[in-house]
Amino acid sequence: MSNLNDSGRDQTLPEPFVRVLLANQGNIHAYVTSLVGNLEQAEEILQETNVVLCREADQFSTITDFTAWACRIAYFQVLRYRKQCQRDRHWFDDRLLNLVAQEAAPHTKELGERRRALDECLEKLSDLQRNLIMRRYSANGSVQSVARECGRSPGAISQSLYRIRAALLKCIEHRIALFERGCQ
Amino acid sequence: MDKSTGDSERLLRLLSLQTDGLLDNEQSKELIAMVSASKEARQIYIAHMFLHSLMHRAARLTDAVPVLPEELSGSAGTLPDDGSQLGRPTRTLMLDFLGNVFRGGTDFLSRSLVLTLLLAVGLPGILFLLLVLHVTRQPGPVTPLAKITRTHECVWSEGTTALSTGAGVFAGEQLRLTEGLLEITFARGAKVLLEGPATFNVTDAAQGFLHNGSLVAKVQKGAEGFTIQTPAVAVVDLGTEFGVRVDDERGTAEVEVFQGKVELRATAEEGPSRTLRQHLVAGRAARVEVTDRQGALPIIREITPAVVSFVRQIPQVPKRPLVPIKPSDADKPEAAIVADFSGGEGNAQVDQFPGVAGSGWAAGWNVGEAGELKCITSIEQANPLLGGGKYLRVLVERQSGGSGACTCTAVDRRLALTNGVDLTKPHVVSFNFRIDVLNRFGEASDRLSICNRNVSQMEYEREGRPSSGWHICMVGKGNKYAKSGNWALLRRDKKGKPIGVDSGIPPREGNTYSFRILVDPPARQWTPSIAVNGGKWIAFEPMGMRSKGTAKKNGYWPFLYFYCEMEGGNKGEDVEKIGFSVDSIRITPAPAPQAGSISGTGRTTRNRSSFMESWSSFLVGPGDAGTGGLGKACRHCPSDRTEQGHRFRFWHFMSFSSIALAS
Repeated sequence: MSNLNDSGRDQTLPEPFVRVLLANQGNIHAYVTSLVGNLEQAEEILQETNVVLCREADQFSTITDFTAWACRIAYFQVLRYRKQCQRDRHWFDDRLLNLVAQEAAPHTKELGERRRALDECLEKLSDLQRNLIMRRYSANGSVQSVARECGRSPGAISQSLYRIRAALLKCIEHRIALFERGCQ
Repeated sequence: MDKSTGDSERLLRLLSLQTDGLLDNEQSKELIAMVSASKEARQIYIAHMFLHSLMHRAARLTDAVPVLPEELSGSAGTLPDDGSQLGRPTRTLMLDFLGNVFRGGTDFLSRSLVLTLLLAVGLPGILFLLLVLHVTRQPGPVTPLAKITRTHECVWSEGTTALSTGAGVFAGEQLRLTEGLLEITFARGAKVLLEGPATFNVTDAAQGFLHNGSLVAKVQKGAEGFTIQTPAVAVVDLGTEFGVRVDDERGTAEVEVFQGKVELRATAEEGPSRTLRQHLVAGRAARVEVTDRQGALPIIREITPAVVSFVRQIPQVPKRPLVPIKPSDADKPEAAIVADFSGGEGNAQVDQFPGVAGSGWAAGWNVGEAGELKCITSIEQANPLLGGGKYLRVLVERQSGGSGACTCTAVDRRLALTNGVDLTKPHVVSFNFRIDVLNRFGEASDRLSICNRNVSQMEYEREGRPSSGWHICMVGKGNKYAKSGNWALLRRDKKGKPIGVDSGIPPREGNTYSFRILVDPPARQWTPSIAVNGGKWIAFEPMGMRSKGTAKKNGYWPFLYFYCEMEGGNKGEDVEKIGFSVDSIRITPAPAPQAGSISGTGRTTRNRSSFMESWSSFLVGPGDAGTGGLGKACRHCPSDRTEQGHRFRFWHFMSFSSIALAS
């Protein structure tokens, strides 16, 4: 394989790599979210992970399972992040982090199915419920702000969100069981 | 409420609070204790966090908020840049562009357009679009692990990129087929024929993972060791051809070896490293079931081969005949609409030409003449079609030197909806058809068509385009429907566009063609079979009705139609002629499944959400042995002969009612 010039060789991100990287953004984010329990931290770590993945792109040809590889690198980024923010109270201790990391990784492969299932499950919610959960996840959509908008108490909103999430989870798991039981 | 339900409800409640940032110290400890304590709790935790992440990203997408890392968008430091426009690194170009687009700061695409695009195709879609637009295809350091070498009527699952012949398959790429056949050639030489619906990952240059569906692997000498992983078992090749099918529901794998030998290899997930190895040789098949017990090895059982039948090669075009159909299948005397022309010419009896209404016909024959085309009809006795007695002869002529535009003429006859055969239900149309004369029949616009239609010739001229359900035609010179000039079978493609299937059967003067068409209005499909000069029947696979027409309203097309189009010729040239004869027209109800046959009638759908259900299989039970009757609709019949234990798998959009087993 040759490139336009020698200096371009190491800099060129091959299209297949970019394709797979972009396709895996959601997978990595979900995986990291399960490790840090916080969406914003997960976004930050996802970005760090992307930087490392791009740097290591030349290994891509030897990688047989991109998602697993990306998750592994994301895991190290989580460890690094925890080291940097030692003063903050961590969500999990090291042992539990390791355990969840191991158990969550295989599930990242079914994320596409989960997303599709979620689309369908959102359709099944009432308009009111769908509206509520979408508002919660829109930019600046905290429970407090949603409560203000709806004129309800944060406690009531939180209870509704719990019900909606439980319903969505049940529906998604049902669909995953239908579609993906064969998946490892 | 039992304890575990209560626990999981408590867990979900705590998780919901956690994700909303409302968890207090005590609750936080409680949640961590629960997640630490059991694997089940962690599974719920992970599913919840994934949902959290998915909702977050879904909502952000509709907000069109930048989602790409800023560090990557061409800033200094992380990536070297040689500065020259030509050699500028791809990533910088692309990410600059993406960065701009997502910040809405570019003149090229307005923010609202981006928003519309995002809503319409979603982020992955637009990223892919942008990639296609802005990534120069430079040879990267990555070589594909495999290549797509052939495709056959592939329909890709939603959300996956359709790959065509020649496309490389890279590590981690998942191939998800809804239908069709896909040949994947691995870098190490093994060939896999994947049959949709199926989900398959190319994991390595000599390894793939079959999540569900079936495939046949052919491994040449030197490529031994090629492995197909499945949820239940790994199939390691030892120089062979073998088939693997994975059941979506349980992950059960069925393996059949056609040549050589494979090794079935399974490892227990937990406990001391336990591995199961079993050899399977040519002509043998096995089923591997995952057990419900945690950490237990799967169970391997030997099964009768051909219980699962595999597609071992991409069918040639035209498609191979499946099961020959005997014309006698349709000769059920009890209910039939017949036109045998036994009464000769006249308009007193039903079976005369033009004849009168009755016995399922709503009218006598109509002879349509239009413009410069002249249609001469007669009832003949000499030289009958396959010994069928009196028959109808039609000669259509067009003088040379006309306007050049095609005109139409036809003989047609209107059918009654009921009165004998219910045409809204599956029925069989059969007739013999001889080509007598083809003179100057050499242009793409010279055509002879046989079809059912929803309007008469008169109505057609008054109201415009007719629409046909089933439609068989021949053309003077290959055109878009019939590239080779053979008899063409017109159907609709997946997008609803009418297309032609080349039958591979050439129309020749003097030949008699027997047509037998299974028309299934509820399933909106038709299944033709053709025999030449009383020879062997050639059956084709079911195909979609050519047009939507009024069938949706009426459920049937009430006209049987024979018509011509002619180009004519320059002044002084020969007269263009098409002459044909028709006899033994018979319309009968489709044979119902017989006693001791596969039970159940129904229809599969093409709806995505139910595509899993669109695959159905029947196991032939005790006493069901017999030969396939209308089994041509049965794509996976191992042979004409079906025995107890044979499993039939029905291709989707197939009508079950067209399946019958004669005992």
